[in-house]
Amino acid sequence: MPDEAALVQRLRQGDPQAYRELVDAYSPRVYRLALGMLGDPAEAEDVLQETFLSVYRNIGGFRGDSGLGTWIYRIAANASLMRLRRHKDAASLDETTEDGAEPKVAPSGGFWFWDPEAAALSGEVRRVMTEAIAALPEALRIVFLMRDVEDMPAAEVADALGLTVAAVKSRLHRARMFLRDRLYPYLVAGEETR
Amino acid sequence: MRDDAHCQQLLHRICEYMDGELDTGTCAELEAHLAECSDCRSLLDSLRKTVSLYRRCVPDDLPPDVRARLLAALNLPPPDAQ
Repeated sequence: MPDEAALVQRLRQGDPQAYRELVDAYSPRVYRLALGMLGDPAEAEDVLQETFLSVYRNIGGFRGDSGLGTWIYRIAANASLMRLRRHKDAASLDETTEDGAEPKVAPSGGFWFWDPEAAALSGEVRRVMTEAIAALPEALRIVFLMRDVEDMPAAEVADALGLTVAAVKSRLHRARMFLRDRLYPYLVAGEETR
Repeated sequence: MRDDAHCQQLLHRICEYMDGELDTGTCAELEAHLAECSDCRSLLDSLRKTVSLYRRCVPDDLPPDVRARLLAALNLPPPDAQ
């Protein structure tokens, strides 16, 4: 983003136009990241709002050690991971009730697929893609989403997640192999995925 | 000729190869192996297709209603109200 220091200064001054520019620049990626992590549009929207409200409240403490975008993605990643942990806690509580009810899990339906490009994929492929990414361990999922889906440089992903670049590469490799293994029958079918 | 140990050794470099992050020597070694090993070529191809499949499912913009609610949460008027 051009002249980030000037934008940060305007954000600190509470300039509404600066916040609009911030929303334009970063909100689609934050929403996609949250949607990919949580698999639920309503929860992704909550994370989106939490992220930008956190930026609004904390911009005064932004020191610029990382880029503004990296800082924002770190907030969004943490908010998404915290929600997933809450789901897990709820699931483990449910499992101890022994009442026979299904444990709660993070919803995994419908993410991404309101997009016209994705709608062209067959329903079976969409289902398998959704299930595969939902099954991907969250530590790998967030790296895959940032690195491969959002095309963020490995160094920026490492900075946002507090990892080494080597760890990002290792997790990305495992994530790609995991997803590839699950999608393989559809990949070899080639054009039948359309 | 297939060499499972060599395949396994290069498997860990295949993602770096996809991302153009290998040094020249390792890149040449991997490409020479790929030229001979159909299993590794198939793996590389399927990894690329996997990434491509997910990438093409990504919308560029926020849904308009989501964007409107975000602006409202930040007390920012929608563009047509300015």
